[in-house]
Amino acid sequence: MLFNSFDFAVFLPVVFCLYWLLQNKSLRIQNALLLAASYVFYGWWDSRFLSLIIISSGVDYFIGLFLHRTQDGGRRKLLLIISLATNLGILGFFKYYGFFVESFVSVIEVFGFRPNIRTLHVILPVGISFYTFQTLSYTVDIYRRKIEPTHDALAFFAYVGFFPQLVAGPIERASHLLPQFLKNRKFGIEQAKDGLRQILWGLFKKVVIADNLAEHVEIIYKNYNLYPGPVLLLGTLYFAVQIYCDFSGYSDIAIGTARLFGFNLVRNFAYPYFSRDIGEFWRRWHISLSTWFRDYVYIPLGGSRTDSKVRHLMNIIFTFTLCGFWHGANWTFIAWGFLNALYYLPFVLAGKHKRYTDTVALGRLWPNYREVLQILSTFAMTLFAWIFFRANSMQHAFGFIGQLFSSSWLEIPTVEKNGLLYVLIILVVEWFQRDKQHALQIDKIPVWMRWVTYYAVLTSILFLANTGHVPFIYFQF
Amino acid sequence: MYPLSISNSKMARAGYQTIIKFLVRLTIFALPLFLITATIEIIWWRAGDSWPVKSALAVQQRNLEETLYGRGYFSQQFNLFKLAGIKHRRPAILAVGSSRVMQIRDFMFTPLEKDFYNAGGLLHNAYDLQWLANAFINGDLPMPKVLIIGIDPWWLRADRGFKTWLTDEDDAFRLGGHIDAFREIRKQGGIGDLIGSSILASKSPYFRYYAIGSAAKKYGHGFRKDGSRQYSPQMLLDYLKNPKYVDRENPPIIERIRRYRSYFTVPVILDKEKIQIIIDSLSLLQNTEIEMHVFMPPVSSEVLKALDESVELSKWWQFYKTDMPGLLKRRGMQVIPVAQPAHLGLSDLYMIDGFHASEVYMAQVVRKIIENIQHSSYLKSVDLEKLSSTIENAAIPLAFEVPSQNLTVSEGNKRKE
Repeated sequence: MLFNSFDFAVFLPVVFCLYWLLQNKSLRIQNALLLAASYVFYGWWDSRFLSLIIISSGVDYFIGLFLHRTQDGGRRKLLLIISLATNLGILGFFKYYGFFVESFVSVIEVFGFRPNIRTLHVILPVGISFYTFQTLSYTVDIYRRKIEPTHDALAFFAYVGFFPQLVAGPIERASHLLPQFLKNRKFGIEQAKDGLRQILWGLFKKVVIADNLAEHVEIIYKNYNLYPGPVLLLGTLYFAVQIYCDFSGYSDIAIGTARLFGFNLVRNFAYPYFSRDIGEFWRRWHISLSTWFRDYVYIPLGGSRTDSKVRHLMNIIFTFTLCGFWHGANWTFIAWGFLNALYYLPFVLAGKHKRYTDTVALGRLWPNYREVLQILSTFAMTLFAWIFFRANSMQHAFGFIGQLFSSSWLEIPTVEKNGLLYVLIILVVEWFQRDKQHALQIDKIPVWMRWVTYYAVLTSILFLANTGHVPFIYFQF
Repeated sequence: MYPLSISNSKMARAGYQTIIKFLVRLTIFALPLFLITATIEIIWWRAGDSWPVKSALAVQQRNLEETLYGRGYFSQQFNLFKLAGIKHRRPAILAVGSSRVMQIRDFMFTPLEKDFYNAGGLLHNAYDLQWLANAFINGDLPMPKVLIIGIDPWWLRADRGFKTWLTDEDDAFRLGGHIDAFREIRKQGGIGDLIGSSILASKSPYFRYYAIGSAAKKYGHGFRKDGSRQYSPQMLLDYLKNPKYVDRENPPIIERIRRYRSYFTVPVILDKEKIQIIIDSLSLLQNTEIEMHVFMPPVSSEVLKALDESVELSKWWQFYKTDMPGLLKRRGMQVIPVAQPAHLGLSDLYMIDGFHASEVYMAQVVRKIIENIQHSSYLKSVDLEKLSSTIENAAIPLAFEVPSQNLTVSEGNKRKE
């Protein structure tokens, strides 16, 4: 079920009312309702793949219990390996099987062999990359004795399948979300109101900004050889804003929806395009994923606490590249991850990768010249990397880059200019709200102004939204 | 235990009160929006615009009298409507293609008129044709005995048509479909116009057919029971007042060609994959028991001239006009190449616009097809004499029948009273 669909517009109020009607009955009944609702939500797309979520949840639930009971180091390691093998096995088969087979065949063909290997056209189950990471973190945290397992199977299954964040995150750690399933949730009117505001803003970002830009991006990237450099630059700018609004819009709707049910999900985006260096960008972009890779890949590899500087740098490169590969079975994503590692390394070497943890120009209306330069240069680097992310293949990416730099940049684009308005809207609004959790956090202004704002956003959705079927980009990851 | 129960009960009441307070506020906020939406939805339903296409088709086919179906605010969704029509009518003679074949009508096949269905508007591109061929082969659609297929030049373009649209969702069930329809209200003259045309009328103006959908009720255009398209009667009246050829598309087809707009943008890249898909799909159909007649729908003489002379478009156009029929004929298919009115001794008066021939013109195309059939053809029983006489007795070059003159739309509407 899509957040921007008629089905969800009916589903959400029904589940909301049932859920709060049950608030004083029993926590278990409430959790059972959430679990059932989550499986209906997922099964709406394809009920066959519900089995994967159930398998993943079941395996990690029992392994969590066994891990806690046994003190034997060898057995604990074996249990962890079973969990990793199950989750990564499912992920590997459904997401990466075709990629590995095709890459293998390509390599073999270089040596003159013509292997007769069949590739399967495996359907990628929606959200598989998200919920497998979520369950994995649970087992790993128990293995590290950071958390204790839950005996409440219902709560655990509801945590893994929690519908607001099931298919595209934020990727929730058990230590943060699971305890919320184990205690009574209270309805908070302010929390619910802010949840609705966040849903509204997420919807606006998705259907007005991202979906309208998607059409321009599609045309420019498909016919890149017909356009001069400035138009291709425009296309990449549009894509940068599209992917941000598409994904952060989804996260906003997910977080807002969870708040309606009394849950708090982690923040996933914090105005990343106002970052002053690439380190800050990665602390603000897809936060739940980058912290996941930090905690479960980078640190176990040794992180920065290695004797060798080279090893430290290799850990960074490996983590970024793997993070890129997580996004999809394509060399373009690997290149995107690797490129980001290359951007990040100079800051690490200079010891300046953790300089900026605050909000840019906090307390001031405008940034100073230095900040403007920093923001623009960081944005330019991310733009270049997005080309790889958006391209269908490495050949497409290099063709695009070649064309981008082959003509004069002094020309003013004559086509596909209409998207600039959407870019401007999102940048201006988010700049002025950059110290808030989301851009529609306007609880401090008078009620009438709030209502005018809500109606303005609703009206713009009504009149400007792209009503074609544009799926969320991150569903494919 | 007892005090705890009281405390729980008090807490529960407090909790519910908070939720009710929240829901009340939310309701107050959403009420204006809800009322507007509900009113509009009721009007759309009353007009028949928001009926699911399958339901609308079922009602249309059930009616004994002629019934027009034409959505005015919702997307027309020719594809879904015509698919539903094929499934419902299971025609032995089926015409398929884009809007350019919509003017073939059932009485052209007398005495087989009941066997005929016009699915013009079903096909938009090569992938639609591929989907249709597979649907016939797999039994997802009832296989006709005779298939008349019109092929359009833009099916061969690399930058047009990337996937089939035959698997679209009905806009009646899609939130985006309702939002699009809402936006149409503003474009089409506001809510008053919608109420006036959609609620008050039950029959189309002039011809006074039973009408489903606001376009059918308001302007009198839409699909007849045989799937053919009834153009706006006002257009026919305009012709009677001023009988000359006008390219009635907006913007005119000839302008689009001259300015390289819409289907005529440059540069044109011929898509080999799509060409192959068209050939393969037609070959697939040819290998079944279907009797197939392929034709390149007619164009006006000014459009033909402009395309023939255009340096930027000529390679594409010549391939469509000459090479494509040649490729198909080599595979043993019956093909009628692109015609202009003069080829049949007609003039551009027989064209609705640069790319759409009138029903009188299309009757002549049908006659040409039937004149060339083999003895074993299912169409052999078609009464050619009657067809010729019908053509000769056509009221005007654009239509076989015209509404009474001196009537305006509102007068036409009043007449039904």
